Amino acid sequence: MKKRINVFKVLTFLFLIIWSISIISLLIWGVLSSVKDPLFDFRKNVLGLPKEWKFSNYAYVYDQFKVEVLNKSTGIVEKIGMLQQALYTIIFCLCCAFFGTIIPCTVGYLLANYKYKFSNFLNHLVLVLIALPIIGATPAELALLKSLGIYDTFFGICLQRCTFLGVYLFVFEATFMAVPYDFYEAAMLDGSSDFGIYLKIMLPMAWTTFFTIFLLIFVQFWNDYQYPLIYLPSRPTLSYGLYMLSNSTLQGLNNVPMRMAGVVIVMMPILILFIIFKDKLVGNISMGGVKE
Amino acid sequence: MFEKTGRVTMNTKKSFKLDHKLKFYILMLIFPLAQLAVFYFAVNVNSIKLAFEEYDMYNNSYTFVGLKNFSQVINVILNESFMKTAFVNTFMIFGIGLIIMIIPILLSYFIFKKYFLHGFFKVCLFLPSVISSMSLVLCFKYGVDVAIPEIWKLVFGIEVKGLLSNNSTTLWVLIFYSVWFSAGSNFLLYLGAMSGISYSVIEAAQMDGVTPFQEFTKIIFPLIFPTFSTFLVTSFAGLFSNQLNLFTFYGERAEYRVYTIGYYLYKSVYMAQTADYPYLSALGLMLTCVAIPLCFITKKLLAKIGPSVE
Repeated sequence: MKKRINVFKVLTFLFLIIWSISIISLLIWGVLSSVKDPLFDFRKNVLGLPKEWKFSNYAYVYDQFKVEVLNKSTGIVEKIGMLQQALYTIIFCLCCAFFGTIIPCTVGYLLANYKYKFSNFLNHLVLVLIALPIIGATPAELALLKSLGIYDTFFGICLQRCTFLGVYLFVFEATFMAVPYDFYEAAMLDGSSDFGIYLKIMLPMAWTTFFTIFLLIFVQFWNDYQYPLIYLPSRPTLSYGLYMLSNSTLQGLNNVPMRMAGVVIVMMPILILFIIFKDKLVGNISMGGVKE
Repeated sequence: MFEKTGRVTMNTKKSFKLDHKLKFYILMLIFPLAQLAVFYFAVNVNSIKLAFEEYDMYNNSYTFVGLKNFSQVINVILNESFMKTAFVNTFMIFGIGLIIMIIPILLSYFIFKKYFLHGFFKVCLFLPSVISSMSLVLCFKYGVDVAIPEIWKLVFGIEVKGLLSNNSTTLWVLIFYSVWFSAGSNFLLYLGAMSGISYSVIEAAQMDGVTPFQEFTKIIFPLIFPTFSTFLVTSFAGLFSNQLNLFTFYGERAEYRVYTIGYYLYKSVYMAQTADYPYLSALGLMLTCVAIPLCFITKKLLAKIGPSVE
């Protein structure tokens, strides 16, 4: 029996080792390929270290790669460079992450502390709506955004992200439930308004959960290219740009090292963020809140 | 509807305060509810409406056409070979997905038990969530198409085609990517669920002499079963949305033989003109009609047959 236990543990360990090696080696190979000369090095030296570390590949991709988008107001095709893509990415991610966090946080607070029957109803409604697999509503959503005149705008994206549907609502609800009610009562006795209590007492107490979820959504949107490709076509983000780069037929960019250089440029900021906030991001998030 | 049932009801002395609370409650809910009404309910109602309409180019409006779009969808499903392939691939990938659903739980258990190198593995498992799918796909794509043939040549001295370029291996390589790099998905939520298990339960079991394997099957798994069942139901919900990362690998140029329904839907929406919206809405509605009962039957079944802690 004891042997079987060891097999169980050892097999999982082996799986994890192989899995970890596969992802790390893939990333290292990608980074090494990004600093090889496409013509004289990469073609003959796919696996080895670069003969000459060509960091200029990054500068080349940064300078040369541009996403062509149609400016609807002028009717002119504009070329969006990487700096502008980075700016769009930051606006897009900050907006989506902020609204995608504050709305479930507020509704979660209301559900946890204001036990009206409507709160129960809302709780059940969200559970049902999350489980409902609605497929193919994107055309209708696009039609709606176009008819409202907010398609392809940051404002439209923000409005779309102001939703409390999703598991984060329950994470916030559980977090606020865990805050002792005495805090609320003491603040009431001190004459604080409900809004004041939420803003000055409850929100700071849920700061860890708020920040963790904000980071998770920020990372999710930084990496997402399909959402901006459909909803924000004329404001390409870095991931959207990387998608275009991977399909680019432009001479000089249409090779593995340059595409890998693009990968590194897009990946680096988020990896740095991950290293800084590793403990928060990899913390134990559950329906019962975030465990520090 | 706004009768109080819990926490706030403790303060029943001052009715003015209660009114004030209610005012705050309503004010704070107005915007989220309006957003839900417009971007969920109105969108879905509009999607159903669109499924019965056709775009009139001359008047720039939609007109009612009855079941025309549905018959077009049925026609495509029955007569187009790529749709048959897409359905077969979708169900095959879904089946494989179901089989490997246990893997993230086992990995979470390993980390939960704080076995050797658990911290390192935790970071590694989280990496695919941090790195964009586009970046990982590009590394993988060129890795299997350029680097692996080189390794093969180096080790065995034989020249082979890239695994993605080789028609006989393409689909399997795509499935492998999807399965392999999603092995760690949801592990954080499983880990969170495991951390919620009272240590005294585990301690009592250990005093009774349970082995780690028994601990996993008889205590941990039954206690985290609600989380597992949620993911199982959501996997049914995502049945027709699974793109197999095809858009990331190939853009809109994937070959028919690797199509999935999720890919076909996304690609069609990406390339769609306003006139295509009704057909796509009808297809979406038909798929929703299949997915909803599947989800609810699974949910009911899981509630009936779910394990219990002995």
